[in-house]
Amino acid sequence: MHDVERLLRDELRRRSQLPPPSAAAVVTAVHGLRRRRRITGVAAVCAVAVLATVAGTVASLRPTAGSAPPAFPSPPPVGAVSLLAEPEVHFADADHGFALAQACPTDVCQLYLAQTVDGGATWQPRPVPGATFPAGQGGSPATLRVLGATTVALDTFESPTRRFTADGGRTWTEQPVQPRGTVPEIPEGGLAEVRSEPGKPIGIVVLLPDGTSSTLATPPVTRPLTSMWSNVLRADDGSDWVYGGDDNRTWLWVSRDRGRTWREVPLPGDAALPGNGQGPEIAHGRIVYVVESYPKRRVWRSVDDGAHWADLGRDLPPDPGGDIGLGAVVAFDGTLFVFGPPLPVTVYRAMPSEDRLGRVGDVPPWQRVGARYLQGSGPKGTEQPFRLSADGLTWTELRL
Amino acid sequence: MPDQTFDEFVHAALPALSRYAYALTGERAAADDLIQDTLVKVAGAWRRVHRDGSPLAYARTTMLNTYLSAWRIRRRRPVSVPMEVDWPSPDAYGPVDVRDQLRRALDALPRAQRAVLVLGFLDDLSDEEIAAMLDRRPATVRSLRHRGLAALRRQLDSDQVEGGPYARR
Repeated sequence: MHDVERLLRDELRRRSQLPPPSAAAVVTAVHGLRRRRRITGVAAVCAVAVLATVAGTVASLRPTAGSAPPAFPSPPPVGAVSLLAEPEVHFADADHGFALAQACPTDVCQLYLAQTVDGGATWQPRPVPGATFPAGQGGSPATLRVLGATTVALDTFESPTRRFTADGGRTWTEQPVQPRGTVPEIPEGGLAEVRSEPGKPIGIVVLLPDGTSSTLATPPVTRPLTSMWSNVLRADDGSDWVYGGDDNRTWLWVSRDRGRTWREVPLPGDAALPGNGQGPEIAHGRIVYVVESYPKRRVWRSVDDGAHWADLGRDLPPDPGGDIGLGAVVAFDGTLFVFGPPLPVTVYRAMPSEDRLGRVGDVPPWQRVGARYLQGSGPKGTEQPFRLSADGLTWTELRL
Repeated sequence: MPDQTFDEFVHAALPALSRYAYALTGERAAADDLIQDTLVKVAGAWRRVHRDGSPLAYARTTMLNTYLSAWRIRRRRPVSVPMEVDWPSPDAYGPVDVRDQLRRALDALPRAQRAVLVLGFLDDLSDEEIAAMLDRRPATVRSLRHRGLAALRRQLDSDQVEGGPYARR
């Protein structure tokens, strides 16, 4: 008989004496991971974009006989205001929108908030006081949160205060990021986001129209641990949706009274397993789409809060390895578009009246940015210049 | 500029967190991943954690929850496994064999059992303290430890009696 306890103690002590990794490397990796995860909040389309970017980069850098060296776009003129490399754009309504921009006359960039009041035809960039960041920094230096036609909040990782403007960026105030007190509901003109707390049910922090934050008194009663959407999605009909999961399964909750009460929406197929599926797409607060990439490619639709689900993805080409994710965006009329890499990206469509996805062509993917669509150029849909559209058919270049 | 206070915390806490991560995972790459996942979550709640005054305790609990969470499986990270089970042959280096068998048996335990054993045998925490950290009842902790130790003992005794899996081929 072994003295298991002594052996175990020795083994754990041995393991614990391994030298730790470099602290500097870990710090760098953690900040990088945070930036990357923030970016992947736009999950579906971003997944397509990242795959496409890698493929495109490899293809463009691969030397071919007699080819000239790969051409890179020239840097913008010194001091010129340009969109961020990974654009942060959001429209509060059909006319009023905002975009984050930058000017990098030296190795330090100035952050700008660009405003449009005519649906993106013209833009007025204004510097955000005191908001600078190193040139070449990956990701966005701030999180753009549009609360209304003239109201914007900017949160940055390093600051305990948020910048807030109620006049389209002409004047700014600073508000504490930390929530104070509780509110009974998510008000009109407010936004909400999920706060995951290890070992506890999730919390919801409400960004109020005046730029301050409070905790929602009645978040959905979940088990720990996490949420896959950092934002609480407010649908067109005013319903609020929270998506995430615990150790045992994935869940989706809906509130139709501004966050006072919550009801769980049963998820279909493998989407209910822990860690499966991706963020649902919601149209008009009544049509719910769920896209599964693994273990099977399936696309589900429910119009009765999950009581029944229809599989629309029966004609999707299989991906046995489950390595290539599907992107998705829901249009203003409730039509679902599914993007299937690799290049060229194939687009499938199912209108609300259709019971299966049909292939509609090979076009760059696009995403919804509030009341507008945003699409990059090139087959990958990730390159400058970016374009805006109100209907997905006609596009206008986003030019600051 | 990144948050200097958080960076300083990482420098100070890394040895302690590494110690836990290696003990839990038994594998360097997995431990590094666990450390990074943990610190990303701590960074997200840093203002609150720092204000509450116990960031290391928070980070340790976060690490345990992250480790226990099935969400990490969603990455579907491939696990390195040998082409064949290459158990060591019985020889004069008996203690080495036993250690190897114990390591394999430990790595095969369910995560909750392994976490309880690590907390109990690495830091000598009481059942009540472990229960508080894992958000379980003390009776559950005792049960997990009992089952974990029994599995380890069963594996080692089985190998000893039968000469180890290598001898069974």
